[in-house]
Amino acid sequence: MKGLIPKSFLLIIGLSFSVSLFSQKITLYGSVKDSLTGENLIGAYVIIKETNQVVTSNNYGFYSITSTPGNYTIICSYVGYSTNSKTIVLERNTKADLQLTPISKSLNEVIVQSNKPASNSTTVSKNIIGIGRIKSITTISGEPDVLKSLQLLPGVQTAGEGTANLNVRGGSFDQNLILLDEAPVYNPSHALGFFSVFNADALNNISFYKGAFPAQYGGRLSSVVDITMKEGNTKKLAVSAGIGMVASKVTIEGPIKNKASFIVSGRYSYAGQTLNLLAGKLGSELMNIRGLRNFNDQNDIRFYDLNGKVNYRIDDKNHIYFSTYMGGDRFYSYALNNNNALDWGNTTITARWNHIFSSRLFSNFTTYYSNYNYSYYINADLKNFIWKSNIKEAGAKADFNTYLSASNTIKFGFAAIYHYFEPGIIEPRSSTSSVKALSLENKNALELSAYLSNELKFSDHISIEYGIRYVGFANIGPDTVFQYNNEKTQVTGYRSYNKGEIVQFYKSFEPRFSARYLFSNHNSVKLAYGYTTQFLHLLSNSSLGLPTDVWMPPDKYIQPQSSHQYVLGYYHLSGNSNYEFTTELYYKTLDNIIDFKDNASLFMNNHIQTQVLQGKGFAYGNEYMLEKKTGVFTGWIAYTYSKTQYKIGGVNDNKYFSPRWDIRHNLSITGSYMINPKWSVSSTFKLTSGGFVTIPEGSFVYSGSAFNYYTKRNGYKLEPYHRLDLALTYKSTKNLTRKWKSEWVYSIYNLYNRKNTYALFVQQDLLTSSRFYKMYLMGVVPTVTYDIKF
Amino acid sequence: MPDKPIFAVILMLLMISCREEYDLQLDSITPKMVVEANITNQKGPYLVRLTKSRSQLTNDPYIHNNTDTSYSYLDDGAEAIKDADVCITDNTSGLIDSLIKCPTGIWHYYKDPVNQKEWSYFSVADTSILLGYYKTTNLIGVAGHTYSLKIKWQNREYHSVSYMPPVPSIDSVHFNFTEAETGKDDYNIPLLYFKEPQNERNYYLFITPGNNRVWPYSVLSDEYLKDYVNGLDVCRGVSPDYWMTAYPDAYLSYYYIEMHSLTREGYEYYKALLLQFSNDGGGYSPTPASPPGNIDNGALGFFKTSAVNKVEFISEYKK
Repeated sequence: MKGLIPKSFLLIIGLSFSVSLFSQKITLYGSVKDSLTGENLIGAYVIIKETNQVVTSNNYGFYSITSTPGNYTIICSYVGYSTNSKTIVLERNTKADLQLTPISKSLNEVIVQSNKPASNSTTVSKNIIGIGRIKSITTISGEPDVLKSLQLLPGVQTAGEGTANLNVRGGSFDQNLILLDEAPVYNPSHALGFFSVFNADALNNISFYKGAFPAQYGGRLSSVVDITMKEGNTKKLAVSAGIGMVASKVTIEGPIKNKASFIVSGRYSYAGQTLNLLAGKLGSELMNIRGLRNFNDQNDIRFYDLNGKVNYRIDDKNHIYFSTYMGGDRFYSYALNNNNALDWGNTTITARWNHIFSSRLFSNFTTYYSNYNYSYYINADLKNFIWKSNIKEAGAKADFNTYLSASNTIKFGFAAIYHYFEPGIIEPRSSTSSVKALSLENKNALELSAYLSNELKFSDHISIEYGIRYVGFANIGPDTVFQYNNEKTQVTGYRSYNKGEIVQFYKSFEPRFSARYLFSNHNSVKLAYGYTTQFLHLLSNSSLGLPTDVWMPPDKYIQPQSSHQYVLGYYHLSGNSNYEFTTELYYKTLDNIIDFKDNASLFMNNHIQTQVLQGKGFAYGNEYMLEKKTGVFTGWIAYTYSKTQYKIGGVNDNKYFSPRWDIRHNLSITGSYMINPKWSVSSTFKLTSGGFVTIPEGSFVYSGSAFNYYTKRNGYKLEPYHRLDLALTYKSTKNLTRKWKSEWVYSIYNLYNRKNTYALFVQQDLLTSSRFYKMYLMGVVPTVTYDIKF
Repeated sequence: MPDKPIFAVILMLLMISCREEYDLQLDSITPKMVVEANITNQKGPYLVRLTKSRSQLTNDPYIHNNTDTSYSYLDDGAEAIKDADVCITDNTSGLIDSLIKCPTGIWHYYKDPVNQKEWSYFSVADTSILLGYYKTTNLIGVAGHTYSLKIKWQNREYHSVSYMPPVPSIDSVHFNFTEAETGKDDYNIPLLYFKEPQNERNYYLFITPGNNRVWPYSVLSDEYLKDYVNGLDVCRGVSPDYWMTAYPDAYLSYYYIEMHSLTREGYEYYKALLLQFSNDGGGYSPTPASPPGNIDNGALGFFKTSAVNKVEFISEYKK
């Protein structure tokens, strides 16, 4: 395998140079920015009209386009922005920063459109969602939610209402790589998944990849959510704030002299207080909900997010960025006589340096740090203990974009990541505690990767993007590896490894390929394939996951997970570019997916290898999406038919079964309509067939109580799910004249009060009798938010 | 002890969600044999109960009135197996005991022996008349011995082997009184003191007084315990109404704690049973699964061999 790699790398370089040999060498380059805020525009199109050459700006807004000398009309366009067109004389390599002005959504304004959406790029299964769209999607709390907005895209399922988890094309929720300014975020949810950690006010762009990823991404099987934070307004100091029933937030951004800008954004949620208030008031008399009868108003759910970013432009060729995110959760349950609390939080720090080596070689160097820590404590007098665990990651990356010509781009890069796992520590919190200190062995691992990819446009019709990614993953001592008997029921021995010694080495060689054929400016077909390996796995034996689930590296017994994915898609853009239609077929195989023995013991278990089962699965589906990106009405309709099957030795009699998120039919409609400059309305409708759950085969009596026994995994299909949300936004006409602008958002979640099944479970009713219960989350939930900007 | 935080999460979920009964009929299947076999180092006879599993969940227990004792008896509705042959062998001593059927059932009643009065939170006393019992004739349970269970029923044989681990002796019981905030109940928690053997892995089962809403069992693994357990707040068990196990009654009078030794299999079995009280069907809680029994041939239930220490006491309300 090792011998293969240099050859393939060389092949790519050889192929790309042979194509570029004939091109002339005059380059126009620069960045694309928002003219009002100075924010980078990611994925904007830069077009040379005369030659019909098209390039897109990268994650830093950088573009580079090469042509022969001459006079050209340069057209720059981006969704939601007025198209900018200017004439440039190209005699030598020229730097031109292009600025676009957002279309203010006023009815009187003529909307000019000439963007070139997804049909033009070679990449498949990619969605870019603007922050504006996310903000118009109603959520249960009234807070815009990035991950919940992604749930409305085709191919994305969830294992339950309310959760921010994504189950992409049949994968589990821990198979998504969620990057915030290039640092991975391990737990992207607050309050057990009811909110996602990303404060929309601090974000610039979200790129979402559902499969056959470009070669620069890897490490997770199902999806990549690449989130870029705002740089901060470079033109003027701006403040925005919002007050909601569940959370309030404030953002301050602005220039620092003329070479730097900053943004600081904070959000604080008092969800628990709101809940206590509601539950206390509505509890017994009005709604008579069984669980609320004994509701204790000392329960507490709180969380915060803090985003900060500074960037400094040293000169035309060098730009540095420093960004950080900190978030934390407190989940305090005043249950029984044990006050117990869960605390968890993410911290990410990213430092980056963009360096433009030449008009055609853009580079970025990143170092980052990500820490996810979580703890649980009981505060009872004598069982006073704390359990803690965390995962840390530090990485260094170098990425290069080489624009050999407008039809030939090479991307390559290297990364080294150090992973540190602290799977669990128990500590007594007082001297009278009857609990003793205990800790599991910490794990270390080093991950090295390199990628090389090349995008070639053979003609106006045909383009391909192909690449390879190589990853080596080494578990590093100190470590103890246990040996077990065949049934893994007994430890038969162990081997200790010294510090720095390689315990286990895994490597993965991942080809990626996609090809596009453009019939006309409006129709294209794409074909793609990708292989991905996931080294880290989450020890979660529930389908929604808890914040206390532990991340672990692979080891001698637990193999890395891997997936092959094949995608075939058809893309159509309407004549006036207002509508875009996409349909994709996918087929995906999954290997070494993780499951657990029945009644597995995962808590503080030093022999977790004896509890894990691994198996395989497949998923296929057909996704349709019709989107209107601009105008007074925007939104999309998405429909997916899909099927997912897993087969794991030791589960369901070793037969194929449906995971909980094997949802066959999935329809989402979301849209916003501006009625007049004062009022706009947005609405979301979701209709899906039911997921699969496990129900008992029968019951039995033991020691005076009824219990259940099970044979089939997820053998019962739930009833269909549907829900309609509605939001009204009011903007005062005074906004046009006064310096500060305000808006009121009134939203209603689950408008017609549908009692969707959240879970079906068996509960002892009397001890000797049990019953099926259907659990449903909120009925109709109205919220009000007030936002202000100046 | 260090429970998974799942319980807190499920509890919160129950608070913010609503639930209603769901009409679902299970497929009718051939019943399985359910074994509830207990041997202890206490005085015999020891009991084995054989019943059949059922393919419905709902069972409406009915109440017998016994005119002789004026007690009401709650039937758990399990269909008894009365025609099996049961024998238990002490593998260490070689003694074989063929169990005899108890055709009239075993009377279980609960009466406070200290105050000589019936103790119950509810109008229905926690007493029952149950069928399907078999009792030993001359077997004497000894900690450290291994026992084999053999059951013959309808041309099938069921087997199980289990070791009886020793149990530490209980040093003492003290009460920990905590005054609660106004409007809430005070706590008066009995605490257990005992010496915990550290050189081996031990598992324990605790049983406290229950009623027809509280299943008074809890398990404990010693991996988190210090060598001297300096006041263990013994869990009062589980209940479908979680608050019923919440605050030990400050005015509690008669109380007992039974401490049973468990094998690893026994610990896993009871842990799985307890987990069935706090499940949400597999959202935040693990996918529900059958409790892992120790009897072969597809029988449900468990053959439990435990050494037992029991403390009985009266608590006085002190402020």
